[in-house]
Amino acid sequence: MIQMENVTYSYEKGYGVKNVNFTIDDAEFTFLIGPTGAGKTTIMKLIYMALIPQSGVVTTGHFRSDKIKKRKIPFLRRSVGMIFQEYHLLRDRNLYENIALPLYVIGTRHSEIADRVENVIDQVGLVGKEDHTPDELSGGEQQRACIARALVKDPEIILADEPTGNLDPITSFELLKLLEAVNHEGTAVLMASHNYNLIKGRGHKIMEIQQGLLREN
Amino acid sequence: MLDRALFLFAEGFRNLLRHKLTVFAAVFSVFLTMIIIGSLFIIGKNTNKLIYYLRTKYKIEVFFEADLAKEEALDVVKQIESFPGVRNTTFIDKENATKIFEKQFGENILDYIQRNPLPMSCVINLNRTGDYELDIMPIVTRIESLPGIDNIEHQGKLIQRIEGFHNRFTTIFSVVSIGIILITISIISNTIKLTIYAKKDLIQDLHIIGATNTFVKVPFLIEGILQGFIGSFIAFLVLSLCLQIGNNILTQFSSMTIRMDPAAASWMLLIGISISFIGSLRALARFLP
Repeated sequence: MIQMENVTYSYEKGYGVKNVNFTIDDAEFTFLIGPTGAGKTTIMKLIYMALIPQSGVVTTGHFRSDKIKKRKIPFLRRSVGMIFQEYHLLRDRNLYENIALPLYVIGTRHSEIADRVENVIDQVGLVGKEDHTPDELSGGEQQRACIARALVKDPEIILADEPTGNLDPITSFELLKLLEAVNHEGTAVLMASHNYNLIKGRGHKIMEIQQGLLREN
Repeated sequence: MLDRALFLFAEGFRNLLRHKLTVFAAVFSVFLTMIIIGSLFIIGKNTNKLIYYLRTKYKIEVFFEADLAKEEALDVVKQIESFPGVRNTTFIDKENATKIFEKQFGENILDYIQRNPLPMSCVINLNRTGDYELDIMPIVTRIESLPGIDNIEHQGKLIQRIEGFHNRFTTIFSVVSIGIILITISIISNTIKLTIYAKKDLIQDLHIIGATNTFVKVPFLIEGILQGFIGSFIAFLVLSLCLQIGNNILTQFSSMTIRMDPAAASWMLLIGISISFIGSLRALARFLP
């Protein structure tokens, strides 16, 4: 599903990741933990190929970083659902429109869109909020909307970059349970977090990153 | 595919409603441009018509020497007919000249003078030249070199002045139009850049969820095309209205009317849309390479 082989990427300022190796299998739930600035987001960006490694190879599905053409990157991203700490919801559109957007991008038929959007809205527990804009939703609801937006295109993997960073502990835990439910349905999840208390004892694989160096627990 | 196309069109249309101020600036720029270009085009078309009409009326009158025999004069006329640019000739012998005189002045000149003083002459009609400049001076020079010619009457200088004015107008029209079009492209390009900047979050999100660059660009192009369509359509309506009012006033003083080309709506829309399309492409090439 996802593989990194001797991957190194460094920014001009010197941060980044060094000689990273790991594999995430189909339907696997993996935590990526580490302090702020350790390289968690860089790993995520390398997986959805917003960054291309300076050395080593990243494989996401059947796309390889050393062979992929720039115009093919959008097709890779269609098989990856992404969730961010800052939500990235469009403020001038309601919940329904935000969730439906990826389906228009991948060319889903209009008649199919309503069903799929309603299904994921139900799955994440936001029924009745379809007409609300992001500003009319709480932080937890916005993050649930992000999960719905990631799920609606039926991705093979969900990348969640600090999804609980702006949420209180109870909401964070509910969100984690939601991601676990999604994983239970067969979708692989890679969740980055710096909150060790949240993820400990969940029985999932944990990878720890410190100053760009990865250690698998 | 159709669903996606409809979605992209709807996005482009929604963009118009979301950024009213920048859209107003772009539409107003296209409107002003098309008003200026449309006015110049109407003036140009009507001047062309006038020039074409005048060209059909151009003629040269040749008067033969008094002692030239009729056969010799007819020989000369034959030679003139073979000159390039000459459509036909009408030979007027002395007898016909007196008839014309009588028709014009109501008196027979032979009643007053024993000998017919009127010379033989020839009216030369020139080819109707629609779209290119008519220079009759080479024909006049060739006629002057023929034997037995006493005098040549023509409107060569006037024609040159009219054609010269027409040429200058055409040049100025082209330069002004190109200048205005370039300025408008720049304005449209800047308004689309502002729109792109205002929607940078959306663009980033679209890329993250797997949108291709084409998918991201198309709504902006549609927005540009719609701006061009609206601006040029309003300009066409305003120009038509102004022409109607102008013609109503003009007909009170003269039989002349200013006409708009029936295809004007099509070419105004085409130019307006093209300007906006190029402006949008320019902005997108810069911000979304």
